[in-house]
Amino acid sequence: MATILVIDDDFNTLRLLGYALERSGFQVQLAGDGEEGLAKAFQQSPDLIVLDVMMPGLNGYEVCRRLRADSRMAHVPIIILTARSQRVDQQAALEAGADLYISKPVTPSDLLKGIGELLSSPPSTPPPAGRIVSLFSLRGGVGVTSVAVNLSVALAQQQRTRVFLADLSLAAGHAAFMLNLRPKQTVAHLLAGQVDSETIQSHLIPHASGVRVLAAPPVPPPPGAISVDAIEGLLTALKLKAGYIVVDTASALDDVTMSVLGVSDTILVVFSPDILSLQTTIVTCRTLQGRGIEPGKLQLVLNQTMPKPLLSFERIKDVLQQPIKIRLPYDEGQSLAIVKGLPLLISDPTLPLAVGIKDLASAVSMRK
Amino acid sequence: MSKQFVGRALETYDLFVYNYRVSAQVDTRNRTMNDLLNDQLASYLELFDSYVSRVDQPGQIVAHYPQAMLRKEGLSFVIVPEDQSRPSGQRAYGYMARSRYKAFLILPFFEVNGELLIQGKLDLHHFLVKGLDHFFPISAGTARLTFAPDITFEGAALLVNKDRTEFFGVSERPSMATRI
Repeated sequence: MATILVIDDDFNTLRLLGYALERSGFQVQLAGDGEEGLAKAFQQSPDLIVLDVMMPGLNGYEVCRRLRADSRMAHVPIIILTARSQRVDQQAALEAGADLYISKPVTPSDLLKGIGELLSSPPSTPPPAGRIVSLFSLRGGVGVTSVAVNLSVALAQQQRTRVFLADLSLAAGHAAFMLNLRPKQTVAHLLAGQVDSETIQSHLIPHASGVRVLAAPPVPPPPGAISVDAIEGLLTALKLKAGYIVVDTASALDDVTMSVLGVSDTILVVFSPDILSLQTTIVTCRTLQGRGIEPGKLQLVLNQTMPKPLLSFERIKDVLQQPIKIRLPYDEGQSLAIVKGLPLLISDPTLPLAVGIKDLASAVSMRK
Repeated sequence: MSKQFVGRALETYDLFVYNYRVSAQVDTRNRTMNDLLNDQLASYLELFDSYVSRVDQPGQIVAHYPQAMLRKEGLSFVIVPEDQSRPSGQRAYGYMARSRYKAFLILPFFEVNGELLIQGKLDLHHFLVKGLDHFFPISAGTARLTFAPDITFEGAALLVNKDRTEFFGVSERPSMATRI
């Protein structure tokens, strides 16, 4: 049976929760403060941690950040329990790295339900390094960012693992905007300093869907400010912390984008059903293969961005002479979803476009 | 948080002072928070197990002290449950109907939206100037941080300091009078 570590400075809470968890068949470890909790976590490697926030000495947010900064604990589910019950507190808990936030007072049954959800697909060992799924198009305006955003949400919903969305469209990234996030810290800030587990954690913005976003800078960085080595180092570090890293790339085959595509496990080439996009897609695939990208990594995604396609699907297939991984239908609500910052996957998951994105997520996750 | 102070009935509240949020336990001594704040014999509020954070950084706790005193005059507002927002003697239900006014207030660093429930017709000047209580309840209150409007604090009621209220706007007509 799973081992749960409960960290709380209140003796009565520790006793009550410990008793309730033991009755439910869990092995329980108790810690009365943050320092003791950290020591026990590193020594005993629990399957899940229940953590109070307001504790003397090391508070719960700091304990959570330190746990997440350590690769041994990066994948252990953490539930934060706190008497601070505002929405900003939930946000703070997620930013600190918690998987679930429950406000006090908590009933044992509510806590057990949360524990059950988090442990329902427990990895007995840390999962393998995350997979990088990049979305790319040499032609702008085909919906790369909106597909990236919705794909991230779909993966977060389907997979019991962390999903990061990295907006590496450094000149004009809008992924955070499409999720109604207002980033104070962006990838440019992160790469300007030391990149380690702690700084990565502090630059990832949690979204209510479970996706954590690394936002693009609001203005293009000066030429040469962000190096290829820095991007590769960042992606390598991100792979250790998440199951999937969805990358929104720029509409250019510059050094940064090529380095991203080079380390990607899957590259979704997005195009729209018009002659210019089709021609650009053919050129893209040839160019990428010419630059050493394995053909097997490239997957074509036809995104119908207009009510009536200018080219029929059969004509597109004839010209491409390559399989199209998925065809995403047009939805008039997509423009409004972008403006409102509410992805269709969340606002109306039954729409054909949302269903198509979910199918894409399933296809991406099934690839080895 | 720990309830290590024997013999006291402590409850946790969020108290807002300038741009700081203090989460602390308060011993109301079987009175309501409204009573405690409007007790003019006491200028200070005794706090236990206080955790202080800046309002725009809830994830960073800047101070923690097992015992502290907070000057009531400096308080902007306190988030309380509905039953703590009324004086002890006031019944939850009464014979006189209450009028419900939509209210908007400006406090240091915050704008507050909510409802003012008052018996009879509202005379705003009389309410603010002549009323003896320093703290009054705003029901279903939402306090929005002025310089970071996506940060809000909500509660069944906010006890708002009159002396910190720089602007107080109410709807012209109350909504249907209701017995609360």
